[in-house]
Amino acid sequence: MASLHCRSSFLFTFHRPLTLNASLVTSLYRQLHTTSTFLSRSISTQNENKSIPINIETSESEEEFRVYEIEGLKKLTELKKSKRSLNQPSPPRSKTMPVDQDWTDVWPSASTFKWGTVPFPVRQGRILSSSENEGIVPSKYGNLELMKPPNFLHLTPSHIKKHCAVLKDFCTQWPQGLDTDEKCRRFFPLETKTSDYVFSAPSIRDDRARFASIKFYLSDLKLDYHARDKFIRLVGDRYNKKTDEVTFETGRCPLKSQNIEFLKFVFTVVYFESWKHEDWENSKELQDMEQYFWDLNASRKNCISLLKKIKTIDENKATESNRLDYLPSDILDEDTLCALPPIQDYKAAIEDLFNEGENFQTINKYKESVKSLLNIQENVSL
Amino acid sequence: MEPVVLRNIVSRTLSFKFKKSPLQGFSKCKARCLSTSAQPQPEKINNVCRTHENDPRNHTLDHVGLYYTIPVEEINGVLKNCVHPWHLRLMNTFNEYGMMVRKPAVELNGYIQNVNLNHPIPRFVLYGRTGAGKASILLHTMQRFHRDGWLILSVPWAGRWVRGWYKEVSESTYKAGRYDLPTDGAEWLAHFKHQNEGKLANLKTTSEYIWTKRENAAVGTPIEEIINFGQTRIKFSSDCVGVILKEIRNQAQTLGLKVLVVVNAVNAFYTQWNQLNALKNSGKKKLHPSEISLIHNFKKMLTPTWTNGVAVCTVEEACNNLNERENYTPLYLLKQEGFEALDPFVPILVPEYTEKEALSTINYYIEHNWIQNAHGRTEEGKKEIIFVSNNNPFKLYQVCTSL
Amino acid sequence: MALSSPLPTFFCRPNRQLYSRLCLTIFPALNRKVTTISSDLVNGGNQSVTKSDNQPSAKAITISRSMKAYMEKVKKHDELMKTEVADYEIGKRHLANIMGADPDTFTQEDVDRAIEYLLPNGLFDKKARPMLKNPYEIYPKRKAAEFTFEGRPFHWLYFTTSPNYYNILYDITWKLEGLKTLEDQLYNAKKDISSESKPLNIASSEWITFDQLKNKVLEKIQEKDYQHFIVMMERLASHPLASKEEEFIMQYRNKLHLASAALIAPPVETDADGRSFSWAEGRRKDSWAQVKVYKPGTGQVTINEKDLSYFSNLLYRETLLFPLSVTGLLGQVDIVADAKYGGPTGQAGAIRFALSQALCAFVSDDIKEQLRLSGMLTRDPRKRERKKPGQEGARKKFTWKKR
Repeated sequence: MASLHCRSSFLFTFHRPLTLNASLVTSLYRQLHTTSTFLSRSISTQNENKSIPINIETSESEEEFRVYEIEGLKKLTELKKSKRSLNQPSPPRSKTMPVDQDWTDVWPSASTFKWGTVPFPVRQGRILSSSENEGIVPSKYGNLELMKPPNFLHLTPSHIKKHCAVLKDFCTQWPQGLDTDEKCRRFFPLETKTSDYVFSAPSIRDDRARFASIKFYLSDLKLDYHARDKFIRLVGDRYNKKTDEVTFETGRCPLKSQNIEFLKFVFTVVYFESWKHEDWENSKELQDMEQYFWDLNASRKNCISLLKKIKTIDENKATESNRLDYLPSDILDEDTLCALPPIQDYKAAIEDLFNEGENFQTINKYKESVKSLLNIQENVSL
Repeated sequence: MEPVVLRNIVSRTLSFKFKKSPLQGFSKCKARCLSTSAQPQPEKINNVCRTHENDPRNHTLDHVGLYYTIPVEEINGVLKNCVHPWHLRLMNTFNEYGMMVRKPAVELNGYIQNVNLNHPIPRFVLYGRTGAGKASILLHTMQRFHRDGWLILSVPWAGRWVRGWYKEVSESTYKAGRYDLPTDGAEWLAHFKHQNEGKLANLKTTSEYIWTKRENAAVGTPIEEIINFGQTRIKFSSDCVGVILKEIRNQAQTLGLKVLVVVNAVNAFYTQWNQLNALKNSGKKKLHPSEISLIHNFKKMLTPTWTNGVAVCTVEEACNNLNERENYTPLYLLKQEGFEALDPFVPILVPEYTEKEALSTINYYIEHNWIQNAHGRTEEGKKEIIFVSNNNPFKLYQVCTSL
Repeated sequence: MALSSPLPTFFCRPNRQLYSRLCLTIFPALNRKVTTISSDLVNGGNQSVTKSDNQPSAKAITISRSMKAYMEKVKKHDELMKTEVADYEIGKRHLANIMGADPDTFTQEDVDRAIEYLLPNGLFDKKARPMLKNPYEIYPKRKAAEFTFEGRPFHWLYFTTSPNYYNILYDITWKLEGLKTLEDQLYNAKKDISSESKPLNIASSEWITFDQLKNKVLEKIQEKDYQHFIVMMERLASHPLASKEEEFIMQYRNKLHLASAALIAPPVETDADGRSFSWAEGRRKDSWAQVKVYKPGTGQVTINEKDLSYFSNLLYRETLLFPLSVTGLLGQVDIVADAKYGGPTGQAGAIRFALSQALCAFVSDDIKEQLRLSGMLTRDPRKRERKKPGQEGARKKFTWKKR
C-alpha cells in the first residue's frame, strides 16, 4: 500500500516541474543508452551545428565531394529503422527523490534491486582491461549482477526502529529482580528448551518441533549421599560430571507440551526413586562401589597385618633403631590402630590417589605418607 | 687431499686429530688412530662432567649430574646382563664405563641404607618416562650394595618372562595349572650365579627336595649344586628358582644375609598381554603372568613376609599393551591388582635430565668425540640438542649419534 | 559516457596528405585562446596545451576536422563527468539518509560500509563487488591534445608516433653523452673519477615495469621498446659518473621495500598474571594450530597440554626448533600450543607457522626478514590432491594391460 501511494506521488511530482531539469535528465538518460554504440565520428557529424558553440564555416575550396545518389539504390530498411525511436521511457524515479525522504516508504519490504528506485549511482562488474566496456565499471542500469543476490535495503536502521516500535506492544517487561544470570539460575533452577521451525513450505509443521529437553543442576536437588549416588547411576550419561548438569531430552510423544510433561514426570520419578532403599542394594560388592574406600579394600588388611608384624618384631628387639614409635604398646583392635594419625594420612593419600587420579600431588602425598607409615628415612648425609 | 675427505675415510672417533693439523701426513695419523680408541680430551673448566669419586658408596647430592667410572670387572660381574644394550655399546665405544650419578639413585640408596632390616621388606618403585634412566638407577644401586656385600636377586627385564615367540612353555611338574619356562629359568640361574659369585658358599638347603624318583636334593645341599642341577636339567630350572628363592627368604634372617631384590618392569608380573603377544600353553590358551611359575615365585619375594631384604622395582610402559601406555605412573601401569600387591611402597620419580645433567652428558660426549659436528660443540648447538631431545636421556643419545 | 580509446587511431598514424586536407577554417575571434581542454585530461607532452596564435582577426583560419572532432569529444566528456559527479554527490547524501547518518560528515569509508551492508556480495574478487565511488576513480584517464588548431603538433617527436617514449630515450642518450664528456674532461685534467662522484646505489630499487612505463608515456609501446629502454637505462646507470644523474635515473626506478616490513606482527599482550605474550594461528595441510609465546620464559614447550614428547619423532621437534634458533630465542620463551586435526607432520608445520608469526612480536625487523627469507612466514599451500575417477589415485593410473 505504501509503495503504491508513493508511486502516485512520484508521478505527480514528475509532471509538475516539466522544465529544464527534466529535459536534462532525459538527455542524460539517452546518453546512457547510447554508451555502447557511440562512435565519435558519426555522432559528431550529426550534432555538428547544434552542440558546438563555435560557428564554423566550411570553406568552399575544401567542399566535400558530392555523391550522386541513384534513386532506389539505397536500402529502404535502414531509413525505416531510424524512424522508430519515438517512445522514450520515462526517467527513473530516483531522479525526483528528495534527499531527506523517508526511505522506509520507498522500500517498505524485501525486494529485488531496482535500478530506477535506488537513488545512489552504485556500480558493479569486474573490468579486466581498458578495452572491456571502455574501462568503465558497469553502472546500475540494467545490471543483472546487482539484482541476483538478496539485498538489505529493507533492513536499514530506520526500518529496524519501526519494526521494534511495532513489536514493543507484544513484549512484556523483564522481571526486575532477575538482573544477573546467577539469580536466574537460583530462582528458576529448571531450564526447559524447545525449538520452533519456521520456513517457507506448504506445511507449517515440522517433525523436530516436538523435541523438548530439561536441564538442572544436581546440586540444586536435596539429596543425601546414597540418594545422590543412586540418582547418578539412574540417569547414567545424562549427568555431566564436569558441569554438574543433568539433561533430559525426549521426543517420544507427538506434541511438545506432552514431551515437557513427560520429562517433568520422569524427573520426579527419578528423584523419589533415588531416595528409596531397596533390599538388593545391600548386596553391593567392591566392584560396584562408586569410588575407592580404603576400609573395604585389601589395602587395609595388608597394612594392618604388616603393622602388627612390625609391632611384634619391635617388641622383641627393643634396642633396635628405626622403630615404629607411633604404634602403642597394646593394640587391642584394628579400628583404634586405624585411627592413628600416620595411618589416617596414609588412608587419605591412597583414597586421593584412586579417586582423584594420579598426579604429582597425589603421588607425592602417598609417598610421604608411606615413608612416615614405615619410618623410612632419607640419608642424613644428603 | 682435502681434510674433509680424510675425515670421511677414517673412523669418526679420530677426526679431532685432523683439526689440529689437517694437512699433515695421512699415513701417520692413520697409524696412530687405528691403534687407539677415542682419547679423552683435556677437561675445560666450565665443561666439567665427571667426578673422580668412583665409589658409589660415597656419592652424595654434590655428585649429582657428574659421570663416574665403573670398573670393567663389575660391568662383567654384578652388572652383567643388566646394562641396556645401547648403553653398553656406547660404553664399549668410549672404552670407558661411565655412568651419571642421578638424584633418585642417591635418594634411593639413602633410603635403603637407613632401612630397618628386621622389619618385613620395604618396597620401592621407580617410575618415569621411557628412557628417563630407571634401569641406570638400578645399576647404581646394585653396584653400591654389591660392594657392601649384599646378595643381589635381579630380574633384568621381567617382560621377557611374559612374552616371546617360539618359547618353550611346559606344564609345571610341581603343581598342575602352572607353567614353566625352562630356558628362562636356566638363564636366570646362570645370571644369579654370575652376579653373586663367591657369596653363595654358606647357603645350604634346609629341607629335602625330590625332583624325580632318582634325583633329589637332601637337606644341606649347597645352593650352588641346585643351580648346577637346574642348569643341566632345565626341565626343573623353574622349580630350582623357586627353591633358591624360598631358601633365601627363610635363611636371610638367620644367616644375616642382606638381600636386594631388583625387578625391572615389575608391571609385567601383574598385567596381561593381549591374545597376539601373550605366552600360550599347548592348548593355545593365553597365560596370565601369575600362572607362570617363575613369576609366581618372584612375586613372593616382593611380599613383606620375610626380613633382611629390600625390594626395588621399576614400572615400564613398554610392558603394557599398546593401548595402556598413556601414562607412566605406578597405579596406572600396575593397575589395582599390582598396586595392592606392592602397597605400601615408596614411589620414586625418575625425572628427565635437568639442564645441568643434560649439559654434563653433552660435554661427556664431546669429551669422547661422540659429537663431532662443529655446531654441536657450541653453546647454541648444545641448547638445540637439549631442545630436540626434550631432556630425555635416551632421546639425547639418539640425537647425538648422528652428530 | 564513454569516449573511444584515449588516442583515436587517426591521431596515431598521421598521413601527411590527409592531414593537410582535413584543415578547416575557423574565425580568429573565437580562436584566440583555447585553454584546456579538460580537467581530467593528462598532459601527455612536455609542452603546454595552451596556445595563442596572433593571427589577423578578420581573416578566417583553418582548423583541422580532426581537431574539431576532438574538441567535441572533450566537451562531451566534460559534461558527462559533471553530471556523474553531481549524481555521485547526491547519491552519497541519499545513502547517508538511508543509513540514518549525517550527510555532511559521510565519508567514503562510511559509503563503502553502507554499500557492503545494503548490498552484500559473496564474490571472491573484491573488485567485482558493488561499489559507489567518485567518477574520477571509475573513468579511465585520457591523453591531452597533441596539436594546435592548425594541426601543427606540439611535440617535436610527434611523427615518431610515440613522442613521449622517444623523448625519454633522447634524454637518456644526451645525459649519457654529457657524462662521457665530463669523464673525458676529468681524464684530461687527470682527476680521479671515483673522488668526483660516488657510485650510484641501485641495489635498493629496481627498474619500473613495462606497465608502469606504459602508464608514464600513455602510448602504445611494445615489449621490445621496453627492453630497449631498459638497455639504455642500464648503460646510463652503469656509468661511473651516474650519480650525477641520480635524480633522473631514480624517476624510472621503484624503491624496494623489505617485504617483511609489510607483515604485521601480532601485538604483545599481557595476561592476568602480568606475563607478556603474543599469539598467532597457523595452518598446514589439514591441521590447525594456535600458539602463544610468553617472553620472558624458560624454554618450556606445551603442546596440547603435553610437553615436547607430544611429537615422538625427532623430525617434528626439529621443525619447531627452526624458528627458535633463527630468532635466537631458544630457551628464552615459553610456548603454549594447541594443535588440532591432521597428522603429526601437519600439526608440526602448523605450529611452526604460528610460532614464527608469534615470535615476530618480539624480534627486530632484521630477524623478521630472516624469518621470512627462510620461509617461516609463508603458509605452505600444499594439500592432499584428490583422487580422480578413472584412475587409481591423484596421478597414478590403473595398470595398463594389453590383454
